[in-house]
Amino acid sequence: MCNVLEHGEHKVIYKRYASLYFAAGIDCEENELYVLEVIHRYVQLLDEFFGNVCELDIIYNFDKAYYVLDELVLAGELQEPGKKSVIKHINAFENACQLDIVTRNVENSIV
Amino acid sequence: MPYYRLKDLIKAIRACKTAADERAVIQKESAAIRTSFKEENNDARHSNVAKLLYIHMLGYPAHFGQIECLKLVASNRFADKRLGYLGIMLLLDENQEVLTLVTNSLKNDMNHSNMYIVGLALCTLGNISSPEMARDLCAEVEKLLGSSNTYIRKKAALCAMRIIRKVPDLQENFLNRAKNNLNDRNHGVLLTAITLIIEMCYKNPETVQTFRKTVPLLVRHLKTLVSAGFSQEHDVTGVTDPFLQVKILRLLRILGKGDAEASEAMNDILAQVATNTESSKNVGNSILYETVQTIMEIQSENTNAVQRHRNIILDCLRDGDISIRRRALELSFALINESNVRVLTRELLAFLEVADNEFKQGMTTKICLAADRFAPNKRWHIDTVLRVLKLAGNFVREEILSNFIRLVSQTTELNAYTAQKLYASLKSDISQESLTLAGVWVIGEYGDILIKGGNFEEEELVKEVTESDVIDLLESILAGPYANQVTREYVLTALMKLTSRFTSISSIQRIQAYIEKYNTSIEVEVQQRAVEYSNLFKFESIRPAVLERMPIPEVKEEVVRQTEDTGSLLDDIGPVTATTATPQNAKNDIMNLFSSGSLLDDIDPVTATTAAPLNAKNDIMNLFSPGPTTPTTAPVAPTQNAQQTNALDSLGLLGLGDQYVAYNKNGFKVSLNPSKDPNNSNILNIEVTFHNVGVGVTVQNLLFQAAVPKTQKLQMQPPSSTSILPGATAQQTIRVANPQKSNVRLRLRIVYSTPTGAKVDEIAEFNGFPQEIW
Repeated sequence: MCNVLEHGEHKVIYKRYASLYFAAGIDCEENELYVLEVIHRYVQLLDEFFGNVCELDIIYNFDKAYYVLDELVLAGELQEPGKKSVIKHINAFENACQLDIVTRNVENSIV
Repeated sequence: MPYYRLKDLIKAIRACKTAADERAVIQKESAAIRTSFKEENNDARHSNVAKLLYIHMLGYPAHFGQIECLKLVASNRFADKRLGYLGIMLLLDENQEVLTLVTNSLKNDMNHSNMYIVGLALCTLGNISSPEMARDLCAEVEKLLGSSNTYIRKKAALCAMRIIRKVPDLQENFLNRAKNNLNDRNHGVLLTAITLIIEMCYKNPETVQTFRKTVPLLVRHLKTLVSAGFSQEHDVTGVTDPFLQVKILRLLRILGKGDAEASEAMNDILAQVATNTESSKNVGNSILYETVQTIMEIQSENTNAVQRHRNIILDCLRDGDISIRRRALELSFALINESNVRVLTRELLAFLEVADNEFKQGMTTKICLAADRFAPNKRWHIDTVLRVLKLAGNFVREEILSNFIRLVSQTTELNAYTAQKLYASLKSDISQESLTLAGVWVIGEYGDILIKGGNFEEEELVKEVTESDVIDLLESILAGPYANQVTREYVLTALMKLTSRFTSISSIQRIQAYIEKYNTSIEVEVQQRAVEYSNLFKFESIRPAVLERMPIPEVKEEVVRQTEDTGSLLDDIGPVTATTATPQNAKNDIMNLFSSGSLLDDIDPVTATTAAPLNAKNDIMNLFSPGPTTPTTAPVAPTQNAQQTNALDSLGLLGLGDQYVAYNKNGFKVSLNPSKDPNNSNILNIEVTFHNVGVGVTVQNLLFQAAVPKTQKLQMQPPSSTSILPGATAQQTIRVANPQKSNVRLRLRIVYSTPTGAKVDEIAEFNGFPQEIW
């Protein structure tokens, strides 16, 4: 089956990974093959972030999946073409959040 | 009992066996969350909103959580803010008024010391901002676009893009910063800057002017990417940063369109990208796709530049992806000029051979037009059009055909050559309608030259062609399965012309006898010609004068319009698209019958598709021959053929051959009566008789289908009746063209129903014709 489906004035690009389908909606002007690459990059990032990602990872950590997506795509366009850079920032933010929680707990306990 | 952690809720929902179960769990949990929200529990809020978002993802209502998300965003904790913004992005959109309450938080967070929080705010604004929010926060985004932090600059650029989409007037604020970012070394900043500029150019054509000066810079960036060695950071399966390459190409396309200087500057790099990019993987292909689009849209009057890409484009003709093939085709035609016409035409003809039918019509027109305009010599021109006719004769427009005939008559020195070539092609293949028409016309006009022989440079020995050979060929065309009314008219006229070109009395008599057969043709036009020609034989004195050579027509201006692909061409010729459906369905019906790996193959698919363009012309012809509509079982049988065969039949074809029983079950008998066609020894006429011997009731809705081996062709007439009373019979004539003299085997399908409600659908094989018959 072709990866590009037409849907009215828009197109749906999808890629299948095992039992999951990753789909993106675009308008007619967009380069379909480019979007396929973006989808693949997203899946690679998930894989890197979760370590050998599987469907359950995404289900139980859907908010993290969204955070990864928000680091890759903004307003429908790719933000960062380099994989390492994205991973670095995601992990850094994760750590910052953890650190923040710990700091507050310490502060609260002191108080 | 509420589930405190998100993980537990998810587990519980997944454990539900039925939809009702799930609804119950979710309802309970929703209620619990609502209560918790009312209690203003700060600690549990994070967990509750997370659960709510999950519920929302499954499709259940979650609007009561919107305000809670706002509260999360207002909190100081990073994790809270993150989840809060996510919730806002999921639950709200620009049409909701609640969104405006977020504006203040966004403003504060954009000034936050932690760059990730700033990023969060930019992300939210970029994804769902409304025009009002865009206006309010434009100044902040502008400031951030000039930040020293690359992370923030990236996001700010895309956020600016969204702002411009919502409020195009705010474009000027970002112009300078965007331009500066083009000099950045960070790929992310570069990428987002280019994306922003693309959006600006789409929204405001004047911006394009401003950015044209940046073309050399962009070309340099692209060059670095293409010629750089392996880069660890940006490599994607062997290609360096394809994302950036594609974006640069897109921007170059916009900037180069309509501007010769800019197009010139980018030609080299386009050629380089196209040749160096590996197209075995999708990555390479995405770049190539963008490159081809760019090449097509930039200034092409200066075709010298684009010529460099010619080889790539010709390669693209053979690409696996049909969209690339289509675009490459359009581009190839645009590229043809005097110097490369031979090479390009050769490639295009090779492509025509394997092209899908939807391309063929447009291609034949364009190839012939190009040949007209740029032919280096007449002989090449004639050869090219001949090749087109041979390859796709059924998809050639009438104007092309008449242009060709005009060309042939103008090129007197090549008349012998053309006649010989057309004769040879017709001998081998009479299935292409336009080729047949052209060939018949030329043979008729120049039959004497054809007979005389003579030779032309290089080539093989000129084959000896005798008068009777020519007449045989014309007769076989008339009797063949591809003849329609137009063909018959042409052949009759050609035969008549030959009477004054040929000298032997026996040939002339033979022709006369043959023409007289058509005096009773049902087709009025054909009958008229036959009768008039027959009468002309009585006026021996003026006959030669009437049939003299045609005067050479004058050179005519190009009247053929340049058309788009098949779309408008088809509107011209009539509702071909409608008729293509039925022959295909007919083909599929019969294909389905014999899918059980039989010895007998199905009807040659060519016959099915060639019916399509022909049917369009026959629509008008059908006005004169309103016979019973042929059942879908006869794909190549417009009603005219039925009449023509009956005319021949009346001359005593219904021989008293033996009756062979092909099927005899349940009181229904089908017998076959074969006889060789006296006019063409390759054709076997079979009279099929259906006997309602012992069914007891009337046989209704009779449907009879047949199939022959692949080397043979089948033509079926409508049955005399589809209802047979008890004891009565019905007939149907089928004809099998068997040029290879192979065993005539038939696979038959008999379908009928009875008033009592019984339905019979049977398949039978018949292999019992004796060898003398075929």
